[in-house]
Amino acid sequence: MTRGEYWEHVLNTYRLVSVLSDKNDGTVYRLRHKEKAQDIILRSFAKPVPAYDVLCGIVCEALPRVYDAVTLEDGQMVWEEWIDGLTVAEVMETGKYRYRGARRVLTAVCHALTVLHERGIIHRDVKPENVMVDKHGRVVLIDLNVSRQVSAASRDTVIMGTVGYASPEQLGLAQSDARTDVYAVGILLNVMVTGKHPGEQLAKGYAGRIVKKCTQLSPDDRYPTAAALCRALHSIFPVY
Amino acid sequence: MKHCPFCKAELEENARFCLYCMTPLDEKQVIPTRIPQSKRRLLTASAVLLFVLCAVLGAVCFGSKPDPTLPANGTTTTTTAAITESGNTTVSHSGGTVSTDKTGTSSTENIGANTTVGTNGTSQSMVASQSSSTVNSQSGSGSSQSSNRSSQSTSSSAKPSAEESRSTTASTAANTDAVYRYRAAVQGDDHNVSYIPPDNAVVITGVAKASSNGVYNIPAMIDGKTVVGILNEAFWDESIRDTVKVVIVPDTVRTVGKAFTASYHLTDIYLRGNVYIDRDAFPPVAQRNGTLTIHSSADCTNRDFWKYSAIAEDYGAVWAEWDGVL
Repeated sequence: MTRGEYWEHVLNTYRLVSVLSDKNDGTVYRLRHKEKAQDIILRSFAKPVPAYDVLCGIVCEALPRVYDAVTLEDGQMVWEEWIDGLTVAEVMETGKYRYRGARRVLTAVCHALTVLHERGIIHRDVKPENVMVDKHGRVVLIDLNVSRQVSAASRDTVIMGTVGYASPEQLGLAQSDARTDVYAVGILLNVMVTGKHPGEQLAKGYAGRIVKKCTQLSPDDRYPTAAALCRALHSIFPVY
Repeated sequence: MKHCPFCKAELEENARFCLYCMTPLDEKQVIPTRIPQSKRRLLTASAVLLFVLCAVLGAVCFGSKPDPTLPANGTTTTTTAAITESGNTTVSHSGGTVSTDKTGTSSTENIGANTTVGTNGTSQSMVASQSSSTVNSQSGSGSSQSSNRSSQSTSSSAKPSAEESRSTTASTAANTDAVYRYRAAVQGDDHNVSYIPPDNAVVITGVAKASSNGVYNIPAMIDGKTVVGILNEAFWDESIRDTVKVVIVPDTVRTVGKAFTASYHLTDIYLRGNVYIDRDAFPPVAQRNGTLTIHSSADCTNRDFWKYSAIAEDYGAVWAEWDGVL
């Protein structure tokens, strides 16, 4: 079965609410079950994204629930939980975060990254548009479209990520690993509390010290893991 | 092809989700999350403050000068009373450590290509004190004493009597005579699969000889190698599982797998440092014989940074603060 045939089959049971994203790497649809009136996300990829197969097996509050990853003749379709909420980018249109609020959001982001990293997955696109907060306050890290599974044999072959959040290694200077996501979280923290990139304005106080450590050029000088970064966020004295 | 158990719709054989009734079909691993909440943090901070105040008041009212003969930081000694063969009671000091210092070595024998049986590194004087009748043994520092006190445990730092009411099971831990099976730790043993253990690290794979008193004081070192994990099924053996009542984990251990799942009589586990405990490390609540208490310091976390004071109930357990002293 091709993606087109699968899509026709899906529309017997669901109706299309909106197309959330339509890029070269894939399309994201928001669907609504005709009888249950429940929303769900269906992602369509031309090439399978291994991270979604991994997420199929776990339930984590800080990651969207992935119900199924269907491999088809010409790609993959992924059924994912619909998160009813706002992205951090949308929230920031109303103002900047206080450090305490940013810390709460990033605690969940770090938890999500820890879960992914333990399964050999690097997110590679941590940014305000990919962090959602639902109406119950649940924080979710979404969009693993550009994620990569780390293995001894594989290397980054394509430069991925978002300008401004991409670490030096994502720009081709070195191989990306878990510290790549740590870099992006540091940028995210700075943007959340100042509204600007660290290059323009570094956050004050120990938030700034954390950002500085996250965004070191050499991955060896950053926090080694997302969990270590999270401990620093909650520590009175950031870990150096 | 298969059918959805709920709506009976026809699905692909490997389908994990029924798109017709929106029902997940497979079991998934649930990863616990505890996002710190302001109220809980306020309560925790208040409780910690209250505890500190009580400790200070207690020290002021009842405290005494520290024993100058006690060892330097890095080790503690515990006074334990052992009923001797002759019926008299002797009190011996035994060097239980809270650090990764070696506690002594004993003979090692190979029983298989990949498994080595080693003793648990307890000091020879401790082992000797268990089998002899009137031994006054001494390890580390401190003077030895003997008396006809009834069997009870006291702290060798001569702390106030309130300390004597601490769990007697923990204070007799230094006398554990269990013998463990272990092997060299490899990548993949840890719950963090990307962790590469150092060359001198080992993981406990089983128990060759049960503890005679139900207390398993996991050693920090075995035969000069650092113990970094307790693997799945380590305590499942039929001759071992029912003997496990108390487990004390050193701060060298990073990960505890599904090790005590069959230990239905386990009532207390003592933790130090940061250690990840598998959700299935303990028996299900319905099969436990009594309450399980997790003893740890207030800041002791699993290595996903969640404090055991907050996640104890995830294990169907209660949490109790522990100062790390046996």
